[in-house]
Amino acid sequence: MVLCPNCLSEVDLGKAAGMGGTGDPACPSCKDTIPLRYVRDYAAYPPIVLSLIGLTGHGKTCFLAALFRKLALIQKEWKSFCFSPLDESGMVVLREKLGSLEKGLLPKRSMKGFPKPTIVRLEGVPQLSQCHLLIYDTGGEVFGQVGQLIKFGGYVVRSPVVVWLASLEDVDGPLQLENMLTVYLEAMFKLGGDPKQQRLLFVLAKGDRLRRLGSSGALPPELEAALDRDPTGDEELLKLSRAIGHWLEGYPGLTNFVRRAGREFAGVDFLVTSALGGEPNKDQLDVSAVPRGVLAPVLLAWARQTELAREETARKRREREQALEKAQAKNAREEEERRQARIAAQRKRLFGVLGRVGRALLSGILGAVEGAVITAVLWAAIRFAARCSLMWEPIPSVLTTMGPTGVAGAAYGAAAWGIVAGVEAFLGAGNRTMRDAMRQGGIWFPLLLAGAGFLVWGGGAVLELAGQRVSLAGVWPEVLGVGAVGLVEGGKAGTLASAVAVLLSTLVAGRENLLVSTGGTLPLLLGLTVVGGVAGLKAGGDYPWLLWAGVSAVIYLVVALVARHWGAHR
Amino acid sequence: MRTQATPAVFRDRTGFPLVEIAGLGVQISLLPVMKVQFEQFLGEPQRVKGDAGDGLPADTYGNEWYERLLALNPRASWRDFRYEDRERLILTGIRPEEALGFARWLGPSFDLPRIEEWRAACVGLQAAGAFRLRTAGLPVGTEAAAILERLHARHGLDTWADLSLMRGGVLEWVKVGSSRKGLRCRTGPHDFQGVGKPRDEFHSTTYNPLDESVELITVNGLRLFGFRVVKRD
Repeated sequence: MVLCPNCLSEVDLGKAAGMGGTGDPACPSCKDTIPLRYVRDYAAYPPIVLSLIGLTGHGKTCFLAALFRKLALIQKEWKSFCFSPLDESGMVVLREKLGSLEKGLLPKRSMKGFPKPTIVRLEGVPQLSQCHLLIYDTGGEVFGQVGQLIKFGGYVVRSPVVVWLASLEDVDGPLQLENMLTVYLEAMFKLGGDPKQQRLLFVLAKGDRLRRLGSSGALPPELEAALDRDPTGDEELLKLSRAIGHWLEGYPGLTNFVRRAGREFAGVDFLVTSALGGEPNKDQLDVSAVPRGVLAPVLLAWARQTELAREETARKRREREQALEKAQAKNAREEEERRQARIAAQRKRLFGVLGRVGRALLSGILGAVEGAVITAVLWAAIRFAARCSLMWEPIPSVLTTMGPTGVAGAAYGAAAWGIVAGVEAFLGAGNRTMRDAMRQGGIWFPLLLAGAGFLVWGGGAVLELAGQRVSLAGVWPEVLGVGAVGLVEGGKAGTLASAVAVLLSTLVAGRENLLVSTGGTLPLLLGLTVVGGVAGLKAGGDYPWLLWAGVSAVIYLVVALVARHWGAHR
Repeated sequence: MRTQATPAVFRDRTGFPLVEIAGLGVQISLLPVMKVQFEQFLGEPQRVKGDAGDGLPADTYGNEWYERLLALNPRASWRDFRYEDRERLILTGIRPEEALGFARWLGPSFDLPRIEEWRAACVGLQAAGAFRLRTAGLPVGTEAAAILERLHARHGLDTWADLSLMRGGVLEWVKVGSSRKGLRCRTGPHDFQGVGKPRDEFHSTTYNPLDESVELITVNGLRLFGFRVVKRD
């Protein structure tokens, strides 16, 4: 980014600023050209803005001419100092002003208009090194009206330091300075500027005449000394500034002006100059000008701008550091939140496992009770149906077969139901349809249910066989219990699982059992249908219970017919 | 009893004091050349003046010439002058080459001071302390004694430095030397410059004679310029 010397905007010149170009680049903001040397050497020669303001006849243009003369004179003292205009227009200004002053002619008054800056390269300045001095000067009448100042003095808006030259002898009453201050402030605000971001360098011009202002009392010794010898050191300038400020505050009619300026600007420094070093004879100097104090505003403006730039850099660095600290704090906070979340998740998982185990146990108990009740009811229904049945097999055999094994079947059914309910609760599939459970656990979930039920039944069957306490035909209630579990808890998939369980149990327990217990076909069919209906009810509205009951019945009948057919062939 | 810093006082042929300051190596006029002093030179026959002002226009040092000078800075009585008229005692309006004629008339060793001699004298006189007319050894009743006595006793100039009028007098011609010549190798008035610190009432200025000097730009400026002489042995 480069500070455009014409409009004082920070602009990005892009490729125009590169080393390849040979023409003066144009400012993208104001479209005016910028000297190529200014752009190329921008980093090595920081711009220092010297914006001159002040009423007509208060010595702005003379100050400028005297400044150039002083730059020439000071080379005797500053051994490595040199200066040069940066472009042809600057050279013309420099030559004109220096030439007229050497001839004893006061420089012509500046015309009002938006000034193109005179850019002077300074090198080898003690303690301050080098810079491009951007000097702005326009006609003093511009500063008398807000409209004029907005039109022609807009450069002051972006000047970090403004140099106000005022000749107390030429002030037309104390209010004139206050009026100009009011005009300046209003114009600044209308141009979008903020005086609080600016420093004011209030320079008493024509200092050689100050001694004649007898009514104001004795001049402060620092001011007297400054009129005798150029003050240059920082401390010396600041001491002088304080002394002049204090003196001016007590100067008749200037108290309010000095205090207002102090409040309106970021800071005010006071200096004194005598551009010519003596009284001219009208517009002609009889002896050569010996400028006094003309370098001080430049040096102080330079120091202040360097200070402001340093503060700006420090502010930006602080902001970056604060942003970094914020980001780090945010990261730390987020990390802490993540850690807390992890801990919470671990706790939740732990408590979740415990909870689920608890829920599983509770569900198992409740499931066992539920299973026992359902199986008992089912068993009662079967027995009732068997008693009432006039179909196929003699009822007594059914009764003997189903008596003791019916109790065991109820117990196994209850256990199977409870275990499956507990597992289901542990997996978090409680109160869901099998479709939802499948979404969560895939096809393995209903298989798990069916497998669990089968293992329970299989275990019971093995025990019964080992004890030879009951006939194999007694497995049917158990098969019924397992199937019921699958149906009730699993809906369609459970129905399939129960059918598989029936088939497998038939194969394991022996085809004969199926044949032997054909007398129980009707009760089994009935029971299975009831269980399918209950499953349909639990599954919810998508699946009517009658459908499930029918499906269960059909499945069972198919299995039975296959088994019967198979047995008949044997 | 003379302190070490107190300058030794001599007199030129006009009776005006020259002081010798330790370390300076030359005698220099205590006062800028006064009109009454210069008028002694003007009273010389034209042949003598002409020899002194060799190379100058024929009417130099003539009545009309002197009247033109007086028009720039009118005369005041050396016997009874007011404080605010003291510059009118001093001869001003003279060009350096004309002043050199007066110096030559004073004697072959006389010249206009070089700028460094002038400044060294200024510093030396500041260190000289309080002025005592008796110590100066000037014959009572002479123009020089009368002027010094009046400046000292009536106008409160108490020190050698004050009485020298190097500050509070006029601008004085000094030689600036050939090293100051520019590329154009100019000669003439710019080989001479003015030093001194006039009173603000006479010429408002911020010059510091120990650091700065001024050049004459217009003829009107001549009214500000006087001179003093040095005697080099």
